[in-house]
Amino acid sequence: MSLLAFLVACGAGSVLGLAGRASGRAGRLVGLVGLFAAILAALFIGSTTRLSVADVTLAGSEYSGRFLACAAGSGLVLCLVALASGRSGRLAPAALASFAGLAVAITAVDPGVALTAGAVATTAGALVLTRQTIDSEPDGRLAEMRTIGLVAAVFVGAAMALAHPAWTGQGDSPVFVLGFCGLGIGLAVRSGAVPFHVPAVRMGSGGSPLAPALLLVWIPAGLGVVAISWSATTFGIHSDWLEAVVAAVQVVAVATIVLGALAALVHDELEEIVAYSIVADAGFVLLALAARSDAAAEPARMWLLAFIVAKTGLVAWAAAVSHSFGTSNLGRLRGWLRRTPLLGLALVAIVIATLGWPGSAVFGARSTLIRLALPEGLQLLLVGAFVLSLAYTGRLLLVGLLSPAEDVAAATVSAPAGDDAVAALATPAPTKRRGSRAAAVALPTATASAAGEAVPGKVAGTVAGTVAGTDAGKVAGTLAVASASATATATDQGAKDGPTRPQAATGESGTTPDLLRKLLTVWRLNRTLEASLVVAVGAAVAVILASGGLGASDASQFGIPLDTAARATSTPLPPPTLATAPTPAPTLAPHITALPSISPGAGGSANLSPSAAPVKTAVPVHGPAN
Amino acid sequence: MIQPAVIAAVAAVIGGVVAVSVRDSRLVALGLLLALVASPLASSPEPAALAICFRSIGALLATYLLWASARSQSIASEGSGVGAVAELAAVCAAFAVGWFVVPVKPLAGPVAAQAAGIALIALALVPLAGRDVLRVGTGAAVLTVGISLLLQAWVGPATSAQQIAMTVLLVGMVGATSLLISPIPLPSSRPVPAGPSAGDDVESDSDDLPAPPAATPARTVSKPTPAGPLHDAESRVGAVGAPPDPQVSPNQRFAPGSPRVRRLHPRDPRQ
Repeated sequence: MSLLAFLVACGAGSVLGLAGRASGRAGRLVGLVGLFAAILAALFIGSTTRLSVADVTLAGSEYSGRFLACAAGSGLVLCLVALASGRSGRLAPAALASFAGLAVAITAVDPGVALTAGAVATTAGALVLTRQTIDSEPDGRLAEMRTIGLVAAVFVGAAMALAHPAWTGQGDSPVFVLGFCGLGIGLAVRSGAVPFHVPAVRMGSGGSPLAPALLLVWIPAGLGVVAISWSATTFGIHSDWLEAVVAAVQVVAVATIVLGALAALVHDELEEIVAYSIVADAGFVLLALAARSDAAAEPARMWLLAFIVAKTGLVAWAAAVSHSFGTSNLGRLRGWLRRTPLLGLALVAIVIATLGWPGSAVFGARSTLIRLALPEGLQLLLVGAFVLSLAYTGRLLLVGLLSPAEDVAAATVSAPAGDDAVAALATPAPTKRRGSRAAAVALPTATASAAGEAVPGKVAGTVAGTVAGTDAGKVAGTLAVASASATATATDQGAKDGPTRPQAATGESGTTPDLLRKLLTVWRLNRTLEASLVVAVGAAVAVILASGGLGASDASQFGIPLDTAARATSTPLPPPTLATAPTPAPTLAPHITALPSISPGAGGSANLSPSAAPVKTAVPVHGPAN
Repeated sequence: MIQPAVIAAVAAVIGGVVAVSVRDSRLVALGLLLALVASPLASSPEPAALAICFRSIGALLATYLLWASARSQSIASEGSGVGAVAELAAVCAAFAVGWFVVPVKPLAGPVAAQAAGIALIALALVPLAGRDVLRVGTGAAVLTVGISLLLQAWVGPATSAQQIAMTVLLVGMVGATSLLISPIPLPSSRPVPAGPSAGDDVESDSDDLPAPPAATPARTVSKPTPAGPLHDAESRVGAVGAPPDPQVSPNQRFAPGSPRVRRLHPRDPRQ
C-alpha cells in the first residue's frame, strides 16, 4: 500500500505540477505537497510491502524505503531552497517523475522491468533542461538527449544478459562482457564521469542551476543501486575480456575521483565546483561496480544514501550562496562566510557528511569500496580523495573568510541600519538580476530603517515601489510600509520614536498591519535566512546519515529484489550444480526468502534456488565460462 | 504464407527508415508511429490484445507529443546524414545479416524480429552521431525499438509488465525529444517586472539571461564549419555570416538561402 501511495504521490505530483506551472504558485505548491507525500509514503515502505502490477510484483525492502525517502527528502529540501530563492518550479515535477521510475526500478522483481524503469527515470531529466543558453554550441540539450538514448539502450540491452538466451557461441562470456561494459558506460555517462564530464559540468548553464541534483545525483544514484546489486551477483565470472573491461572501469573511476576533485579545486564558478565535486564522488559508484562483490554491495548502498543527501545539500548550498550575493563567481564571493555564517556551517557539515570520519559509516564505506575495487598499490586513493576534497572545500571557506568583495558587501543579507539603509536607497538598482533580487530583499528593510529616521512611511513605500517595479512594486510598497512598523521598533532610533512613526507610516498608507501581515513580512524579508536554514537542516540530516543514523546502516544491509532475481539466474562461477545453488548472502532481505522458490527457466526447466524470487529469465545451470 | 510477424517486422523497419531519413518532423513522427505500433506485433506468439492496445496508445501519445512540438513552428531536421540511399543499403544489409545469422539457438521468437532489430540498430547509429536534437532523439527511439525487437527474438515475447515499461520508456524518450526541440519562451516575450521585490515569486529560469542584444551587423568573418555532410544547421548559419541569435531556438536558426536545409511552411506561432 505504501509503495502504491508513493507511486501515486509521485505520478500525481508530477503531472499536476507540470500542468500547474502556468499558475506559478499553485504548480509549485503541488510539487512540494507531492514530495512531502512521497516522503511519508516512502517511510512506510518495508520488507512486507508488496504491490502487483500486471504480472510483475514490486517488493519493497528496508533499503528501498530509506533510499526513496532520502531522495524525496532531498528533493523537498532543494525545492524549498528554490522557492526561497525564487527559482523555477520545474524541478519538483521532474524529480517526482524520476522518483517514480526509480521506485519501480529498485522494487521490481523482474529484471527486464527494473532495468527499463531505470531508463524511464532518466528521461525525466529533460524537464529541467529547457533553458536556452547564449552560446548554443555546447548546448546541453543535445548531450542530454544522447545520454537519455544511451542509458535507455544500455539498460534495456543489459537485460539481455540476465535473460540468458541460449547462445550458440562460446557461452555467456561475451554477453556478460557486453552487459558489464554497457552498464559501466551508462553509469559513467549519466553521472558525468571522466571523460564524459563536459556536458555535466555545463549543465548549470544549460538548465536550472539546481538541475545537477537531479541529473548528477538522484538519477545516477538510483541507477547505481540497480547496477551494483546486479553486478555483485551476476558478473562474478572470470574472463579475460571481462577483466579488461573491469580494469577500464577502474581507470575511469580513479580518474574521475582524482581529476574531478582537482577540477573542483581550480575552477572559480560555484556551479562548476559543485558539479565537479559531485562527479568526483560519483566515481565511488563506479568503484562499487568494478568490485563485483557482495562485500561491496553493502558499503555501496550506504555510500549512495549519504551521496544523495550530502550532494543535494551541496547544490542547495551553492544555490543559496548565489542567491544571497547575486553572483556565483568565487572571486566575487570573497567574504561570503562573514555575511552568511549559517551557510558556512552548512558547508562544513556537508563536507563532514561526504567524507565522514574514522569510524563513521560513510568513511568505512568509502574505504571499503577502495579496498575491494582497487589493487593495493592504489589504496592511497582514499587519502588522496580525502585531501583533495578538503582542499577545494577549504578554498571555499578560506575565500569566505577574506574581506568582503564588492558584490558581497553590496548584497546586504542581514538587516541594514542607519547610513547603510540610506545608502541602499540611494544606490541604483544593480544591473544583474540576481544582484537586484538580493538587493530587493534587503531594500524594504532598508526602507523601514530609513522610515525610522525621517522618511514617512508613504514615501518609503513609494520609493520601494518605484524601485521594485510595477505590479510587484505595489506589493513591495505595502510590504515596505508594513516592515516599517516591524523593523523600526527594533532599531535604537526606532525605539526612541517608534510609538509615533510606525503609526504615522501605517496611518498614511491607510492600512493597519495585523499580526499575520507582520509575520508574513518578516518571513519574506528573511528569505536568505530561511534558505540558509533549510540548507543547514539538510546538512545536519546528511551528517546523521553519514554516521549511520536514521536507520541507514541497518537498511544498507538489505538488498533490493534485483539481487535475488540476479541470483536466480545461473552464475558461471563457481561451477554451478543443483547442489551448489546460490547461498543466501547476508545482504539479502529476510522477506525475500519467503518468496516462491522455484523460478521457471527460459528453456522450460526450473532453477532450484531456495532464496530466489520468481523471475522468468532463469535458465538451467551452465558450465563455467570460457 | 507470409506470417504477420514478418509483415510487422518489415513495417517497423520501414517506419524507422522514414523516421530517420525525412526532413519534415511531421513525417518523422509518422515514421516513428509506424515503427512503434508495428514492433510489438513482430513476436511469436503475439502479445495479448491489451498489451497491443497499450503499446498502440503509447505510440499515439508519443507521436502526438512530437507532432505537437512541430506544429507551432517549422522544425526540420537535416534528413539522412549519409543519404537516403546509403541508409537503405545499410538497412538491407543489416536485415539480411539478421535474417541469416542466428546467434541464439533455439530462437525464442521469429527470425524476422531479429532481422528487424539488427536493421533498426544499424539505422540508429548515424542519427545518434549527429548534432540535431530531433535526429538524435529519433535515433534513440529507433535504437530502443530495435533492442526491444532483439529481446523479443532472443528471449521471447515480453510480459505485460515489460510491455508497459517499454511503452512508458518510449513515450518518455519521444516526449523528452519533443521537449528539447521545443522553442523556449524568451524573456522578452513575457512581462518582466522592472525589478524583483521582496517576496515575489517570479519564475527565474532566465536569471542569467542578459537583455536581448541590440541589432548587430552581420559579421563578415564566417565561422569555421566542419567539412563533410554532417553539418548541423547552426554551423551552416554561422557559415552564412550572421551570428547566431541567442534569442532564437537552435531549431529556428535556419538562415534564408541556406543551401540544404529547407524551410517548411513557417506558420505563425500560436498565441
